[in-house]
Amino acid sequence: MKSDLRSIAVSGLHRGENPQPGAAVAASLRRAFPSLRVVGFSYDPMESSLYGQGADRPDAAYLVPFPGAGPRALLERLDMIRAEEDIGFVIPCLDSEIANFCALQSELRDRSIQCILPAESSFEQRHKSNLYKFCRDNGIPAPRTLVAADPEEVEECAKEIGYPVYIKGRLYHAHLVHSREGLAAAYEEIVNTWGWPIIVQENLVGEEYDVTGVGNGRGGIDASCSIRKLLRTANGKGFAGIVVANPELDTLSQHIVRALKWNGPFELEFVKVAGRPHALMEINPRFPAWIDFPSQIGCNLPALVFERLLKHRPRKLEPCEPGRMFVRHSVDLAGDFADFAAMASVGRRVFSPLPVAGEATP
Amino acid sequence: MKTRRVQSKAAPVTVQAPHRLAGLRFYAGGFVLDTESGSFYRLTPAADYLLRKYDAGTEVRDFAGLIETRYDQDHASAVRDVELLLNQFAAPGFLDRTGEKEPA
Repeated sequence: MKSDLRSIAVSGLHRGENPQPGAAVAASLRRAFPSLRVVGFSYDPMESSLYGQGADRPDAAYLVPFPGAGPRALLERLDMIRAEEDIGFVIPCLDSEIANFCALQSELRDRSIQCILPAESSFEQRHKSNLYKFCRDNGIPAPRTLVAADPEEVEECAKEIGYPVYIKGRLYHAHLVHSREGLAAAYEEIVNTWGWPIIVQENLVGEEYDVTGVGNGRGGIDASCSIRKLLRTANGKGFAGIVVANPELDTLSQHIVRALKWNGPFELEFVKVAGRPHALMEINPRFPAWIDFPSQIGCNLPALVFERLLKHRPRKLEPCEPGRMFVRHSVDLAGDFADFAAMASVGRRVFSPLPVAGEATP
Repeated sequence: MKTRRVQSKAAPVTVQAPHRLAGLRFYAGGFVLDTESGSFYRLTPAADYLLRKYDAGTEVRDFAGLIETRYDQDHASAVRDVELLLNQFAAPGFLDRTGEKEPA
């Protein structure tokens, strides 16, 4: 089938201290579609996937504008890349770029590029600054959250919620602040990078649970995997996890996805305080960095998304077995500065050349 | 869940063998995984033995007798040890102690 041979673009290629999902998505796709050509949308020549040799490395990678440059800049670059790569599908893997892809849905269709994206209303409702209202409106347990537009409001919100309190950027970054004296340093660093508003959130102490899955856009979940974090890095990133089978967590996740009518990949982050129900902390509009773990145990969610992109009937995935676990492992990838220089100057690296016209296609 | 057929003069009746702790999984070395919460525990050999017995259907009131037999203990010591173990089981929610009879 001709459409099966078109390339898929994946972003979020860095697997360092704060790993992005793209490499895991690429690895998952190759488990199910070994001959699939994966094109990486890269934001930095130092992204680790560009130096790998394994299944998570793209066949080619292209530098693209930072999401802050807007959808037009992304589209211009996409058209440049399309002159060399026949991209038929995209799985965006970074929160900050989803809005740009949503804005380009019509243009993507015009270019026959398939991409599963949430509806604009769904995407906005789960935004950090709107999430608390969404939870209250739908009876979903959540930490008390306020939104501040200036330094005075940050201080008022923190005082109202009570210390210690989380200061969060509207997209990324979070600092736990224990007193009024620590507030300014926390929000200034975030505002300098991501701007206003600032999210001020109640600190919940408990076990952390993540649920990743694919929403079908009609209120249902095609498949999902739920884990409890076993290990966390100093900045709270999951470094190990174990599959759980928790009916309350499943019911709550289904309720959330149904309320949003979420379409496409998602990650729900919960904290379970003893004696209280699971509280929804964040909804991420993309796969998590640990997405290749369920792929390894029979629940390949990126492959399911690709099958939907192909307009195939998605394979039925078995529930992940409770007790299966993962531990993240860091490796050193050998490279050459020439590779970095080439990517930084030309904005392109090809690891697997495209077949020449007339040669047999894979 | 295992089942067994009970033979009688009347038509055979299939009864379900009890499996109280459906959310728990037992592993080597005394490890127990709560598959709902993802929490895991390491039990002493005596605690592991009793919890597995309970999961298989043994009543709490029979625990002291099991300890006496397995560890060649006097009755008073067995009752005391069982009470301590039951308290440990209660904290992670292994047993519902509401309505449980005191060990004999």
